[in-house]
Amino acid sequence: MNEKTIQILSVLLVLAFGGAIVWIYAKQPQNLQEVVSKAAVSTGTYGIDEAEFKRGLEFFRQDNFSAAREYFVRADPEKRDAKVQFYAAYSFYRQGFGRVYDDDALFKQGLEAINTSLALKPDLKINDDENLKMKTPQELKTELQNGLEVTVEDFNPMKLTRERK
Amino acid sequence: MSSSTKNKNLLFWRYLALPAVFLIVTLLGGMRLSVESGAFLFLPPTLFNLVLAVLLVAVIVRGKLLLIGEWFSAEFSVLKNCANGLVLLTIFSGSVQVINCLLPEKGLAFGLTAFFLLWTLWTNLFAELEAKKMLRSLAALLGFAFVFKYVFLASLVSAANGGGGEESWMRKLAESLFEKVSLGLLEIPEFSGATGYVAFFTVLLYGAGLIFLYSVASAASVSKERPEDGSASVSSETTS
Repeated sequence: MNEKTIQILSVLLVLAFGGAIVWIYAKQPQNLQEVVSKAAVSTGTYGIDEAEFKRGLEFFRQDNFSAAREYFVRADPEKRDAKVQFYAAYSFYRQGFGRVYDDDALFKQGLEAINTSLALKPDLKINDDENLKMKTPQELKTELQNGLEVTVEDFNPMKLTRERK
Repeated sequence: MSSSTKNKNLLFWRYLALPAVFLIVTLLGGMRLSVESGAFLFLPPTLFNLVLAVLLVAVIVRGKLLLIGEWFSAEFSVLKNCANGLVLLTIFSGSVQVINCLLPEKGLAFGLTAFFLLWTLWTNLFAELEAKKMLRSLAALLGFAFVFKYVFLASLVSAANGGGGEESWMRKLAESLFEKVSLGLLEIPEFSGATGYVAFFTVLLYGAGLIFLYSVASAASVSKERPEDGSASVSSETTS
Protein backbone atom coordinates (compact mmCIF):
# COMPACT_ATOMS: atom_id res chain seq x y z
CA MET A 1 0.00 0.00 0.00
CA ASN A 2 1.47 3.37 -0.90
CA GLU A 3 1.12 6.61 1.03
CA LYS A 4 -1.75 7.88 -1.10
CA THR A 5 -3.85 4.75 -0.53
CA ILE A 6 -3.28 4.91 3.23
CA GLN A 7 -4.27 8.59 3.26
CA ILE A 8 -7.47 7.84 1.34
CA LEU A 9 -8.25 5.03 3.80
CA SER A 10 -7.56 7.41 6.68
CA VAL A 11 -9.96 10.04 5.31
CA LEU A 12 -12.65 7.39 4.81
CA LEU A 13 -12.09 5.94 8.28
CA VAL A 14 -12.35 9.33 9.99
CA LEU A 15 -15.41 10.41 8.01
CA ALA A 16 -17.27 7.11 8.51
CA PHE A 17 -16.38 6.57 12.16
CA GLY A 18 -16.79 10.28 12.98
CA GLY A 19 -20.19 10.33 11.26
CA ALA A 20 -21.25 7.27 13.25
CA ILE A 21 -20.21 8.96 16.51
CA VAL A 22 -22.16 12.14 15.69
CA TRP A 23 -25.16 9.96 14.78
CA ILE A 24 -24.94 8.03 18.08
CA TYR A 25 -24.78 11.26 20.12
CA ALA A 26 -27.73 12.69 18.17
CA LYS A 27 -29.94 9.58 18.39
CA GLN A 28 -28.98 8.57 21.96
CA PRO A 29 -29.57 4.80 21.69
CA GLN A 30 -29.94 3.19 25.12
CA ASN A 31 -28.52 -0.23 24.29
CA LEU A 32 -26.88 -2.16 21.48
CA GLN A 33 -30.24 -3.40 20.17
CA GLU A 34 -31.38 0.20 19.78
CA VAL A 35 -28.15 1.05 17.98
CA VAL A 36 -28.99 -1.65 15.42
CA SER A 37 -32.68 -0.71 15.05
CA LYS A 38 -32.00 3.05 14.82
CA ALA A 39 -29.30 2.39 12.26
CA ALA A 40 -31.78 0.31 10.27
CA VAL A 41 -34.29 3.19 10.38
CA SER A 42 -31.62 5.67 9.24
CA THR A 43 -30.54 3.46 6.34
CA GLY A 44 -34.11 2.64 5.31
CA THR A 45 -33.74 -1.09 5.99
CA TYR A 46 -35.94 -1.20 9.07
CA GLY A 47 -38.58 -3.91 9.25
CA ILE A 48 -40.63 -5.43 12.03
CA ASP A 49 -39.83 -8.82 13.52
CA GLU A 50 -42.75 -10.89 12.18
CA ALA A 51 -42.14 -13.82 14.54
CA GLU A 52 -42.34 -11.55 17.61
CA PHE A 53 -45.44 -9.85 16.20
CA LYS A 54 -47.17 -13.23 15.71
CA ARG A 55 -46.33 -14.23 19.28
CA GLY A 56 -47.74 -10.90 20.44
CA LEU A 57 -50.95 -11.55 18.50
CA GLU A 58 -51.32 -14.95 20.15
CA PHE A 59 -51.13 -13.34 23.60
CA PHE A 60 -53.49 -10.57 22.42
CA ARG A 61 -56.12 -13.17 21.43
CA GLN A 62 -55.71 -14.89 24.79
CA ASP A 63 -56.44 -11.53 26.51
CA ASN A 64 -52.93 -11.45 27.97
CA PHE A 65 -52.40 -7.84 26.96
CA SER A 66 -49.27 -6.99 28.98
CA ALA A 67 -47.39 -9.93 27.47
CA ALA A 68 -48.75 -9.06 24.03
CA ARG A 69 -47.42 -5.53 24.32
CA GLU A 70 -43.97 -6.81 25.31
CA TYR A 71 -43.83 -8.76 22.07
CA PHE A 72 -45.17 -5.80 20.08
CA VAL A 73 -42.35 -3.66 21.50
CA ARG A 74 -39.82 -6.32 20.52
CA ALA A 75 -41.37 -6.59 17.06
CA ASP A 76 -41.32 -2.83 16.46
CA PRO A 77 -38.82 -1.22 18.88
CA GLU A 78 -38.69 2.03 16.87
CA LYS A 79 -42.50 2.36 16.63
CA ARG A 80 -42.40 2.66 12.85
CA ASP A 81 -45.10 0.17 11.88
CA ALA A 82 -48.71 1.36 11.85
CA LYS A 83 -50.19 -2.14 12.21
CA VAL A 84 -48.12 -3.08 15.27
CA GLN A 85 -48.91 0.28 16.87
CA PHE A 86 -52.61 -0.27 16.12
CA TYR A 87 -52.55 -3.61 17.93
CA ALA A 88 -50.59 -2.08 20.82
CA ALA A 89 -53.27 0.63 21.13
CA TYR A 90 -56.00 -2.00 20.88
CA SER A 91 -54.38 -3.97 23.71
CA PHE A 92 -54.46 -0.84 25.90
CA TYR A 93 -58.13 -0.37 25.03
CA ARG A 94 -59.13 -3.94 25.80
CA GLN A 95 -57.13 -4.06 29.03
CA GLY A 96 -58.45 -0.69 30.18
CA PHE A 97 -62.07 -1.33 29.25
CA GLY A 98 -64.49 -1.62 32.15
CA ARG A 99 -68.27 -1.75 32.31
CA VAL A 100 -68.37 0.63 35.26
CA TYR A 101 -65.39 2.78 34.38
CA ASP A 102 -62.39 2.68 32.04
CA ASP A 103 -58.77 2.83 33.16
CA ASP A 104 -57.66 6.34 32.18
CA ALA A 105 -53.93 5.59 32.45
CA LEU A 106 -54.17 2.69 29.99
CA PHE A 107 -56.48 4.63 27.68
CA LYS A 108 -54.00 7.53 27.57
CA GLN A 109 -51.20 5.16 26.56
CA GLY A 110 -53.55 3.67 24.00
CA LEU A 111 -54.25 7.11 22.61
CA GLU A 112 -50.51 7.76 22.24
CA ALA A 113 -50.05 4.49 20.38
CA ILE A 114 -53.02 5.07 18.08
CA ASN A 115 -51.79 8.59 17.30
CA THR A 116 -48.45 7.06 16.28
CA SER A 117 -50.28 4.55 14.10
CA LEU A 118 -52.38 7.30 12.50
CA ALA A 119 -49.31 9.42 11.81
CA LEU A 120 -47.61 6.46 10.12
CA LYS A 121 -50.56 5.28 8.01
CA PRO A 122 -53.85 7.20 8.26
CA ASP A 123 -55.67 4.85 5.83
CA LEU A 124 -54.81 1.65 7.69
CA LYS A 125 -57.59 -0.95 7.75
CA ILE A 126 -57.29 -4.38 9.34
CA ASN A 127 -59.41 -6.76 7.27
CA ASP A 128 -57.77 -10.05 8.11
CA ASP A 129 -58.67 -10.23 11.82
CA GLU A 130 -62.23 -11.25 12.70
CA ASN A 131 -61.40 -10.87 16.38
CA LEU A 132 -61.39 -7.07 16.07
CA LYS A 133 -64.62 -5.10 16.05
CA MET A 134 -62.89 -1.84 15.23
CA LYS A 135 -60.96 -2.10 11.99
CA THR A 136 -59.48 1.38 11.58
CA PRO A 137 -57.32 3.61 13.80
CA GLN A 138 -59.97 6.36 13.58
CA GLU A 139 -62.63 4.13 15.21
CA LEU A 140 -60.24 3.05 17.94
CA LYS A 141 -59.16 6.64 18.58
CA THR A 142 -62.77 7.78 18.95
CA GLU A 143 -63.44 4.94 21.38
CA LEU A 144 -60.37 5.80 23.45
CA GLN A 145 -61.23 9.51 23.48
CA ASN A 146 -64.81 8.76 24.56
CA GLY A 147 -63.45 6.60 27.36
CA LEU A 148 -61.30 9.43 28.65
CA GLU A 149 -64.08 12.03 28.65
CA VAL A 150 -66.48 12.37 31.57
CA THR A 151 -69.99 12.97 30.24
CA VAL A 152 -73.57 12.61 31.49
CA GLU A 153 -73.68 9.39 29.50
CA ASP A 154 -71.19 7.86 31.95
CA PHE A 155 -73.89 7.84 34.62
CA ASN A 156 -76.36 5.98 32.44
CA PRO A 157 -77.04 2.57 34.11
CA MET A 158 -77.47 1.04 30.66
CA LYS A 159 -73.73 1.53 30.26
CA LEU A 160 -73.24 -1.63 32.32
CA THR A 161 -74.58 -3.67 29.43
CA ARG A 162 -72.17 -2.38 26.81
CA GLU A 163 -69.79 -4.83 25.23
CA ARG A 164 -66.05 -4.58 24.73
CA LYS A 165 -65.22 -4.12 21.08
CA MET B 1 13.66 -3.75 9.38
CA SER B 2 14.02 -2.18 5.94
CA SER B 3 13.45 1.53 5.47
CA SER B 4 10.35 1.04 3.31
CA THR B 5 8.79 -1.27 5.93
CA LYS B 6 9.56 1.32 8.60
CA ASN B 7 7.97 3.98 6.48
CA LYS B 8 4.85 1.87 5.91
CA ASN B 9 4.59 1.21 9.64
CA LEU B 10 4.87 4.92 10.32
CA LEU B 11 2.17 5.69 7.80
CA PHE B 12 -0.06 3.01 9.32
CA TRP B 13 0.35 4.41 12.82
CA ARG B 14 -0.07 8.00 11.74
CA TYR B 15 -3.02 7.68 9.38
CA LEU B 16 -4.97 4.66 10.63
CA ALA B 17 -4.07 3.66 14.19
CA LEU B 18 -3.88 7.18 15.67
CA PRO B 19 -7.26 8.39 14.35
CA ALA B 20 -8.87 5.06 15.30
CA VAL B 21 -7.60 5.39 18.89
CA PHE B 22 -8.75 9.01 19.25
CA LEU B 23 -12.12 8.24 17.62
CA ILE B 24 -12.75 5.46 20.14
CA VAL B 25 -11.90 7.98 22.90
CA THR B 26 -14.36 10.41 21.25
CA LEU B 27 -17.08 7.77 21.30
CA LEU B 28 -16.52 6.62 24.87
CA GLY B 29 -15.68 9.98 26.47
CA GLY B 30 -19.28 11.12 26.79
CA MET B 31 -20.71 7.68 27.51
CA ARG B 32 -22.27 6.99 30.90
CA LEU B 33 -24.37 4.09 32.11
CA SER B 34 -27.60 4.72 33.97
CA VAL B 35 -27.57 3.53 37.56
CA GLU B 36 -31.14 2.16 37.39
CA SER B 37 -31.20 0.25 34.12
CA GLY B 38 -27.63 0.33 32.87
CA ALA B 39 -28.88 2.09 29.71
CA PHE B 40 -26.38 4.07 27.64
CA LEU B 41 -26.35 7.84 28.07
CA PHE B 42 -24.30 9.90 25.66
CA LEU B 43 -23.49 13.34 27.08
CA PRO B 44 -22.39 15.81 24.42
CA PRO B 45 -19.46 18.07 25.36
CA THR B 46 -20.16 21.50 26.84
CA LEU B 47 -18.63 24.76 25.64
CA PHE B 48 -16.25 24.69 28.61
CA ASN B 49 -15.02 21.22 27.52
CA LEU B 50 -14.10 22.75 24.17
CA VAL B 51 -12.21 25.60 25.84
CA LEU B 52 -10.22 23.20 28.03
CA ALA B 53 -9.56 20.92 25.05
CA VAL B 54 -8.14 23.85 23.08
CA LEU B 55 -5.75 24.48 25.99
CA LEU B 56 -4.90 20.77 26.20
CA VAL B 57 -4.11 20.60 22.48
CA ALA B 58 -2.10 23.84 22.79
CA VAL B 59 -0.05 22.19 25.56
CA ILE B 60 0.47 19.15 23.34
CA VAL B 61 1.69 21.42 20.54
CA ARG B 62 3.93 23.36 22.95
CA GLY B 63 5.34 20.01 24.15
CA LYS B 64 6.35 19.33 20.51
CA LEU B 65 4.24 16.21 20.22
CA LEU B 66 2.67 17.93 17.26
CA LEU B 67 4.87 19.94 14.92
CA ILE B 68 2.36 21.84 12.86
CA GLY B 69 4.88 22.36 10.06
CA GLU B 70 5.07 18.60 9.58
CA TRP B 71 1.31 18.29 9.30
CA PHE B 72 0.41 21.17 7.01
CA SER B 73 2.36 22.67 4.16
CA ALA B 74 1.64 24.28 0.81
CA GLU B 75 4.11 21.75 -0.66
CA PHE B 76 1.93 18.80 0.34
CA SER B 77 -0.83 17.47 -1.86
CA VAL B 78 -4.43 18.39 -1.07
CA LEU B 79 -5.11 14.79 -0.07
CA LYS B 80 -2.22 14.76 2.38
CA ASN B 81 -3.25 18.07 3.93
CA CYS B 82 -6.85 16.82 4.23
CA ALA B 83 -5.80 13.48 5.75
CA ASN B 84 -3.49 15.27 8.22
CA GLY B 85 -6.22 17.77 9.06
CA LEU B 86 -8.66 14.98 9.82
CA VAL B 87 -6.12 13.17 12.01
CA LEU B 88 -5.59 16.43 13.95
CA LEU B 89 -9.36 16.81 14.22
CA THR B 90 -9.59 13.37 15.83
CA ILE B 91 -6.88 14.38 18.32
CA PHE B 92 -8.90 17.48 19.19
CA SER B 93 -12.19 15.57 19.46
CA GLY B 94 -10.49 12.94 21.63
CA SER B 95 -9.18 15.73 23.88
CA VAL B 96 -12.64 17.28 24.12
CA GLN B 97 -14.17 13.97 25.10
CA VAL B 98 -11.49 13.00 27.60
CA ILE B 99 -12.19 16.32 29.34
CA ASN B 100 -15.93 15.58 29.10
CA CYS B 101 -15.22 12.20 30.71
CA LEU B 102 -13.15 13.61 33.58
CA LEU B 103 -15.11 16.74 34.52
CA PRO B 104 -17.96 16.17 36.99
CA GLU B 105 -21.28 17.03 35.36
CA LYS B 106 -22.33 19.90 37.67
CA GLY B 107 -22.12 21.44 41.12
CA LEU B 108 -19.15 22.42 43.24
CA ALA B 109 -17.20 19.35 42.12
CA PHE B 110 -17.44 20.59 38.52
CA GLY B 111 -16.28 24.07 39.56
CA LEU B 112 -13.31 22.74 41.52
CA THR B 113 -12.12 20.30 38.87
CA ALA B 114 -12.68 22.79 36.06
CA PHE B 115 -10.74 25.48 37.91
CA PHE B 116 -7.75 23.26 38.67
CA LEU B 117 -7.64 21.81 35.15
CA LEU B 118 -7.84 25.31 33.68
CA TRP B 119 -5.16 26.57 36.06
CA THR B 120 -2.77 23.67 35.37
CA LEU B 121 -3.19 23.76 31.59
CA TRP B 122 -2.90 27.55 31.49
CA THR B 123 0.35 27.57 33.50
CA ASN B 124 1.73 24.65 31.45
CA LEU B 125 1.10 26.68 28.34
CA PHE B 126 3.80 29.17 29.34
CA ALA B 127 6.34 26.66 30.65
CA GLU B 128 9.30 25.34 28.68
CA LEU B 129 8.01 21.87 27.90
CA GLU B 130 9.80 18.77 26.72
CA ALA B 131 7.70 15.99 25.16
CA LYS B 132 8.46 13.26 27.72
CA LYS B 133 8.02 15.54 30.73
CA MET B 134 4.84 16.94 29.26
CA LEU B 135 3.47 13.40 28.81
CA ARG B 136 4.25 12.58 32.45
CA SER B 137 2.66 15.83 33.58
CA LEU B 138 -0.50 15.12 31.55
CA ALA B 139 -0.63 11.54 32.87
CA ALA B 140 -0.50 12.87 36.43
CA LEU B 141 -3.15 15.52 35.70
CA LEU B 142 -5.60 13.18 33.97
CA GLY B 143 -4.94 10.40 36.49
CA PHE B 144 -5.66 12.71 39.40
CA ALA B 145 -8.85 14.02 37.77
CA PHE B 146 -9.96 10.43 37.16
CA VAL B 147 -9.34 9.36 40.76
CA PHE B 148 -11.09 12.48 42.06
CA LYS B 149 -14.24 11.92 40.02
CA TYR B 150 -14.57 8.17 39.68
CA VAL B 151 -13.07 6.98 42.96
CA PHE B 152 -13.43 9.75 45.55
CA LEU B 153 -16.58 11.57 44.39
CA ALA B 154 -18.32 8.40 43.17
CA SER B 155 -17.80 6.78 46.59
CA LEU B 156 -19.12 9.88 48.36
CA VAL B 157 -22.18 10.14 46.12
CA SER B 158 -22.86 6.43 46.49
CA ALA B 159 -22.49 6.70 50.27
CA ALA B 160 -24.67 9.80 50.44
CA ASN B 161 -27.36 7.99 48.43
CA GLY B 162 -27.25 5.01 50.79
CA GLY B 163 -25.29 2.68 48.54
CA GLY B 164 -22.27 2.35 50.79
CA GLY B 165 -23.67 -0.12 53.30
CA GLU B 166 -23.65 0.09 57.07
CA GLU B 167 -19.97 -0.66 57.47
CA SER B 168 -18.68 1.78 54.85
CA TRP B 169 -16.16 4.23 56.31
CA MET B 170 -16.84 6.51 53.36
CA ARG B 171 -20.47 6.62 54.35
CA LYS B 172 -19.63 7.62 57.90
CA LEU B 173 -17.22 10.25 56.59
CA ALA B 174 -19.82 11.54 54.15
CA GLU B 175 -22.48 11.69 56.80
CA SER B 176 -20.29 13.52 59.27
CA LEU B 177 -18.59 15.91 56.86
CA PHE B 178 -21.01 16.50 54.07
CA GLU B 179 -24.47 16.08 55.49
CA LYS B 180 -25.18 19.78 55.78
CA VAL B 181 -22.09 21.51 54.52
CA SER B 182 -21.40 19.81 51.20
CA LEU B 183 -22.03 23.14 49.37
CA GLY B 184 -23.24 21.21 46.37
CA LEU B 185 -20.13 19.02 46.12
CA LEU B 186 -22.25 15.89 45.94
CA GLU B 187 -24.84 17.33 43.60
CA ILE B 188 -23.61 15.26 40.70
CA PRO B 189 -25.65 12.58 38.98
CA GLU B 190 -24.96 9.02 40.07
CA PHE B 191 -24.07 6.60 37.30
CA SER B 192 -23.65 2.84 37.21
CA GLY B 193 -20.34 1.47 38.51
CA ALA B 194 -19.48 0.33 34.99
CA THR B 195 -19.17 3.99 33.97
CA GLY B 196 -15.93 4.17 35.96
CA TYR B 197 -14.50 1.22 34.03
CA VAL B 198 -15.48 2.80 30.71
CA ALA B 199 -13.85 6.07 31.83
CA PHE B 200 -10.71 4.23 32.96
CA PHE B 201 -10.41 2.57 29.55
CA THR B 202 -11.06 5.91 27.82
CA VAL B 203 -8.37 7.77 29.76
CA LEU B 204 -5.93 4.90 29.28
CA LEU B 205 -6.62 4.87 25.55
CA TYR B 206 -6.15 8.64 25.32
CA GLY B 207 -2.80 8.28 27.09
CA ALA B 208 -1.86 5.48 24.70
CA GLY B 209 -2.85 7.74 21.79
CA LEU B 210 -0.52 10.48 23.05
CA ILE B 211 2.31 7.95 23.42
CA PHE B 212 1.70 6.77 19.84
CA LEU B 213 1.76 10.40 18.76
CA TYR B 214 5.10 10.86 20.53
CA SER B 215 6.51 7.70 18.92
CA VAL B 216 5.31 8.77 15.48
CA ALA B 217 6.76 12.26 15.94
CA SER B 218 10.12 10.85 17.14
CA ALA B 219 10.32 8.27 14.35
CA ALA B 220 9.40 10.84 11.72
CA SER B 221 12.06 13.27 12.92
CA VAL B 222 14.70 10.48 13.03
CA SER B 223 13.93 9.42 9.46
CA LYS B 224 14.02 13.07 8.42
CA GLU B 225 17.45 13.55 10.00
CA ARG B 226 18.89 10.49 8.20
CA PRO B 227 18.18 10.95 4.52
CA GLU B 228 21.29 8.87 3.69
CA ASP B 229 19.37 5.76 4.88
CA GLY B 230 17.27 6.13 1.78
CA SER B 231 14.14 6.18 3.94
CA ALA B 232 11.46 8.56 2.92
CA SER B 233 10.27 10.90 5.61
CA VAL B 234 6.61 10.62 6.55
CA SER B 235 6.23 14.29 5.91
CA SER B 236 7.83 14.13 2.49
CA GLU B 237 5.97 13.55 -0.72
CA THR B 238 8.36 10.93 -2.11
CA THR B 239 6.12 7.93 -1.73
CA SER B 240 2.92 9.51 -2.85
